[in-house]
Amino acid sequence: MRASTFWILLALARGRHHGYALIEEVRELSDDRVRLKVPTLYAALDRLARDGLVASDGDEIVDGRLRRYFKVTGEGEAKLTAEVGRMEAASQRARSTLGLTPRGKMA
Amino acid sequence: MSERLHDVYVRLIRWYPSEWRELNGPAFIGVLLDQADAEHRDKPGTGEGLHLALAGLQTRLTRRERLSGVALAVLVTALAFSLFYVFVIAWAPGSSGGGFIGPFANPTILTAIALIGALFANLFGLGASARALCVLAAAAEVSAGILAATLLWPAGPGIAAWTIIAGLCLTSAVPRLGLHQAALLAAGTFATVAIVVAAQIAGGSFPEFLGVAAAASWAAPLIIGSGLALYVRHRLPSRAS
Repeated sequence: MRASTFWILLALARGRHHGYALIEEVRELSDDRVRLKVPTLYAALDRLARDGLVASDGDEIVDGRLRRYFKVTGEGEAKLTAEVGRMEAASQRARSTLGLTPRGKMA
Repeated sequence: MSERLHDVYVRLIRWYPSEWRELNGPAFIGVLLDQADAEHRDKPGTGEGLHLALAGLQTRLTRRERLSGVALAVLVTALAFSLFYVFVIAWAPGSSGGGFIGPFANPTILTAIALIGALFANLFGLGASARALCVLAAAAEVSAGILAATLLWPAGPGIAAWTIIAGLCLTSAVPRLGLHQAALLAAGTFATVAIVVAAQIAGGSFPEFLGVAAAASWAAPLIIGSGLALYVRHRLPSRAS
């Protein structure tokens, strides 16, 4: 899974967001490491919607601007959960290889 | 400030396909304006125009669509004709000289390869990429024809061959091609060929402006211009959503 996809799905797992709020949420969740450009965000949302992982959740007009909200689908949540599991397994393997203490356990 | 920037963004997102803009344009511009507000900008950010152009082109080339049945039929005809030309007329193993590519007497093989690429692109649902490859194939064939005429390659593609191939390529590249348009464009192509062939047969008895070299110089812009005009009319936006 691409980094942008992961962060977008994670942000949407916290609730429905409109475009700019989603960019900000991704930036905060990733500790400022992922700063999505608007075209990149929409390209990712197009792809995720096509794959059935996110869906449009209504439009609102605020200060004369159209805001489109997005939400994660059940399939999107399942994919995100599977990705987190895969990342955890990879992290544990890396810790074991490097001789580091497993997370959550006292030395 | 916001209104002016809104208009700038409306212009910049014209790189995206019209259907995409109809669906997403207002919300997309809203996000661009939100971001500009947050960054206290009254004009697009550094490189934002280029980024929008590239993303729009990518959206055009990668969206899921297929050529119409008529366009696909014209594309297959163009490929069949170019393959016949390449393997029967331009097939000359062991020979070499100006214009030769491997065992082929002229670069029309490149046109055939581009058309095969277009067929595969269409197979994978990349209709816009297929059309772009058809335009590229036409440009390659016209270039080969003009080079053959000006550099006097003895086995270069003759004007009748490259006019037919380029005409069919450009016809198949017309978006939302209908039967009537295809018939009209094909008729135009073959009428051009008929005039040129008639000029060649008649030789010196025809006025100079119908000579082969002169014909190449007017037929090429005619074909390229018609194709581009149709492409611009059907594909590039005349207004923003």
